[in-house]
Amino acid sequence: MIRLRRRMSALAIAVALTVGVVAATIGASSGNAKAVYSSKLPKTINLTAVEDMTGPVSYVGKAVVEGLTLAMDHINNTPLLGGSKLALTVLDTESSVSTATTVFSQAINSSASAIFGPLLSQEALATAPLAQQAKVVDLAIESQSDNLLPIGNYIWRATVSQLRFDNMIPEVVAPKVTGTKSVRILFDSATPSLVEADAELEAKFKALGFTVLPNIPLAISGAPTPPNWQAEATALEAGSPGAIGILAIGASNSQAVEALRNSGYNGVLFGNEAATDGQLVPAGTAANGFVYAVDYSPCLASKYPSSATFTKIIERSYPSTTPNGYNATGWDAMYEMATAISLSHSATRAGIEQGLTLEQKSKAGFNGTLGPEHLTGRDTTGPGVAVVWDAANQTQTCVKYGNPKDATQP
Amino acid sequence: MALQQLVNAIVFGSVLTLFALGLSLAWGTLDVLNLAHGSLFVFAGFLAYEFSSHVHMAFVFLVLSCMIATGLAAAVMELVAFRHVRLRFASKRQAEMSMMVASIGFSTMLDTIVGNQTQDTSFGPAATAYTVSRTTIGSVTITNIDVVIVVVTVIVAVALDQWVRRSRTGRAVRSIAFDPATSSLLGINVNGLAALTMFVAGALAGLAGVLLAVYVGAEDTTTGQAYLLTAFAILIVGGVGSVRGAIAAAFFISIAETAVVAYGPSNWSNGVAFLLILLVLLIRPAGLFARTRFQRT
Amino acid sequence: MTSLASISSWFTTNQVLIENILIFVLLAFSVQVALRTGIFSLAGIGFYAIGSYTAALLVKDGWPAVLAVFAALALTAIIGYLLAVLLVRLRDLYLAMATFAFDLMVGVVALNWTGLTGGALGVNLIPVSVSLLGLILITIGVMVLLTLMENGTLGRTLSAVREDEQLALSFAVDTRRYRRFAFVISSMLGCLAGAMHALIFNVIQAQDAGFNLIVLALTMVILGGFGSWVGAALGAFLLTWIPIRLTSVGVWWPVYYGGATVLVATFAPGGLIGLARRGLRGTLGLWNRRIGLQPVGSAQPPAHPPPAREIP
Repeated sequence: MIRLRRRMSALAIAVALTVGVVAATIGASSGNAKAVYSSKLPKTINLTAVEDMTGPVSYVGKAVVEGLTLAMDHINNTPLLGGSKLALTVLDTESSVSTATTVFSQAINSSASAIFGPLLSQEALATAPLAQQAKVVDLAIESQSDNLLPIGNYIWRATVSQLRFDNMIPEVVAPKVTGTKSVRILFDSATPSLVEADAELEAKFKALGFTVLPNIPLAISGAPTPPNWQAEATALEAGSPGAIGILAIGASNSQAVEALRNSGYNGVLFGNEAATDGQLVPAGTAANGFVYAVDYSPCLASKYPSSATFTKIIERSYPSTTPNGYNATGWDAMYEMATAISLSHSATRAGIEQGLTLEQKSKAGFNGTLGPEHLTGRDTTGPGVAVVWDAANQTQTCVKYGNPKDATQP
Repeated sequence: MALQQLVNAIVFGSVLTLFALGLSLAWGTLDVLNLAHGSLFVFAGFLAYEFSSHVHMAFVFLVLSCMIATGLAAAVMELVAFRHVRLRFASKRQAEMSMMVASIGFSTMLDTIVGNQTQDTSFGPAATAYTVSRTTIGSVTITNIDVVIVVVTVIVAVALDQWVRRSRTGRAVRSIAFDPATSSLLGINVNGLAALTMFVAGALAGLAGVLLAVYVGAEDTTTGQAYLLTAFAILIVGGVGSVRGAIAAAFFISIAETAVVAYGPSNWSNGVAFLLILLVLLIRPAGLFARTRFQRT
Repeated sequence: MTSLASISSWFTTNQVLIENILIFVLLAFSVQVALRTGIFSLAGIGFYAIGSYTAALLVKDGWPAVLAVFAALALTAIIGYLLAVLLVRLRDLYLAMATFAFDLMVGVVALNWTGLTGGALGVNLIPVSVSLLGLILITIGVMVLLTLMENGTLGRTLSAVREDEQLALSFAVDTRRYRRFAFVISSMLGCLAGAMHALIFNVIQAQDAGFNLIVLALTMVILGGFGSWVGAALGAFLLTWIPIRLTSVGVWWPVYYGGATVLVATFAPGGLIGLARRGLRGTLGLWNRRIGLQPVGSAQPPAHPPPAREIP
């Protein structure tokens, strides 16, 4: 009796698992895109974007997809690709590495000719090897990890690393300092790009004749205890530096600014590009005059016509939100992809990789949302701009434009 | 600087205390390790942001309305899930695990609602909600919100301590923790009291949440998690169910962490709380102020 | 022949999904083994981190994958045993919190010990050393091991330790030894999952094994059913696969996911496996009541609310 019941339970469970496993594959397309060289572009060119559409960084993923989609519509209305039209599929990584790798591999197994990669560095680093192995171009967006591009020649990046334009920040901060010519920086030691940004900024300040007081590394992202911002502020203000830097992402920007102003600090405050897109809004007037550098800002429209085109289009499509660097990098990524296709006259997977290589070799660059941009060593470079936050109008004021001829601003 | 850092540690410790008290109450009396406590905390800050952006009201009313709303949210969790688990599950251990997982589900739901409503960007109460003003006494700068936080914490801690130890309802709540079956035989309305206790626990999270929202000025959906994990450290070090333990542990951890920030390699400040847990577990596993001893076997 | 080819092509197409599921299955086993013995240990996640770093660093150093994994398991067994001795007298949620704290401490060390772990950068370019077939075989091997552990004298003893420790003691069962044993096995399974992750997905970071992973592993086991490894496997499969299917719902999908978690956790004691078993037994009807036996682990909710403690 017992054995019979056990057998039936086991059978039921085995059936359930089998049904489950079969069901798991429904929807996972099994088409295998074979790389066949063809010099005629197909009518529809399929591209897939694997982005974080839900989860804590969904505001970035959604903004990137907005940029991608607008650029795609724009390109489809120009003769850039002959009569061919681009089509975009968006897959959500749910801010989870396991989901990211799973849907990325689904994209690889679909008819997508190339993939726009996810933004979180864990996801980008885990998915890029899959793309390299399958020989599909992975045009990474936003992920600034140093370990990404070395994975292989099919891995490219569309977003300009902030290290290329952060050097302008000290040049803007220096003349504003009324107190002692000294600076102290707090940075999120759990975010590698900010660790590098700190080193770069300190070197530049030193070169400008500032005393660099000992920095404060603080693990913020994913830390199991919250920062005591008042304590950090007191530590930052020790020695009365003329300028204080906060290199952090998300809400920490406003939190740090408020803590510093609440404790009575009157000197210059500066930060990194993560302070963009509304992160300084909750701090209110305390954040007025905050200096940082970004790749894209609406205030670039007066300097670069190509940026103005983008800003106008996106403001028309999404009138209630301010265009930001995430929209811009999505737009630029789509344009880089389309340009590659038009250069190689091929929308096959190998063809797109060849197209990007041609784009890079041509050194002519292209005019994108950041102004004149280039593909350098599978990475994108642009001039960047140092901005000051205007709290009253909640906008950025462009203060120092990067030199488009320098891949990294000196 | 040392004195200023001490003041900073005390204010921060007060916020941690308020937060941990709510968690300790739910766990100590109802065996609910409410992992949604951090989400309730952020939810309160979100409500403060929403209310203050649309309506201009006195700060006291803002705090009270957020507290009540958050308390109700916690009571809903009790009514929808925890109560049924308590009634249906034979084994206490299983009930604890299931309530914990149910609270995880609630946490996901709350975080998504707040995140979608704020486009996952940081938010904070409007400037009109509370005006921060500053005084400097000697080498120490204090703001009005600092004072409010410490005073409120003292009042709440004393009130809670008295309520749990002296009042009839408080003692009834403690008897539920000890033995729900016998309590109900003695005429105690176990279900009603459980809902009330969760309401109070939620309201405490709400109070901490609004005060924190004004204190740090901005937060997003990820802010609550670090507070939740620190609350774990506080409860282990202080002992669950002990109000005095929670207070002592909260300040102890806050002062220790601030000391590391002020004098040591600040990126290890995270480790301080957990190092303390390790020490407590080695020496006195039930917590420094625990009333119930752990079993020997 | 064609069916064999199509089966293998199906595996290739869904390789990453299967790999992700199996790694989570191993992690879920880690939590399940502990819960089944009545130990609320979540330390498996901390050992997931330790296992992944150990395996990654050794393989990058040139060790063969098999040796690297065994080294990681050995290290885990030692640390796990010490931790067990330290913690095993704690009860229920206290033990859960202590192991939670251990997991977070491992994360803090991984983040700050930059020299060894690479800090926030993590370890990358780990050579892929385990194939899909290898992972499947390992998982099946673990399932066999767990089946052996769940049946026979050992299985019944572990259940006794969970259900009524005082009674087990009165039968001269050294409950502390069994609890330590289960703790160590649980830790080693977590380590195995982490090592597999490192050697298949070739990049690991300090934030991988944090609060979210702990919560996910626990949810998988409770929702699937902690009585047997089958429940844990089911939970792991569902919670890896369903979120991907749910994204078509749009940005509110986590609300449905959270709601479903609440409902299953509250109204399905013994998890979904428990529901399935009860459903089956329901159809078998009177037979069961006459026999009166209950399969291990499916805590069937009694007809009336029981007293939380026996009133002597």
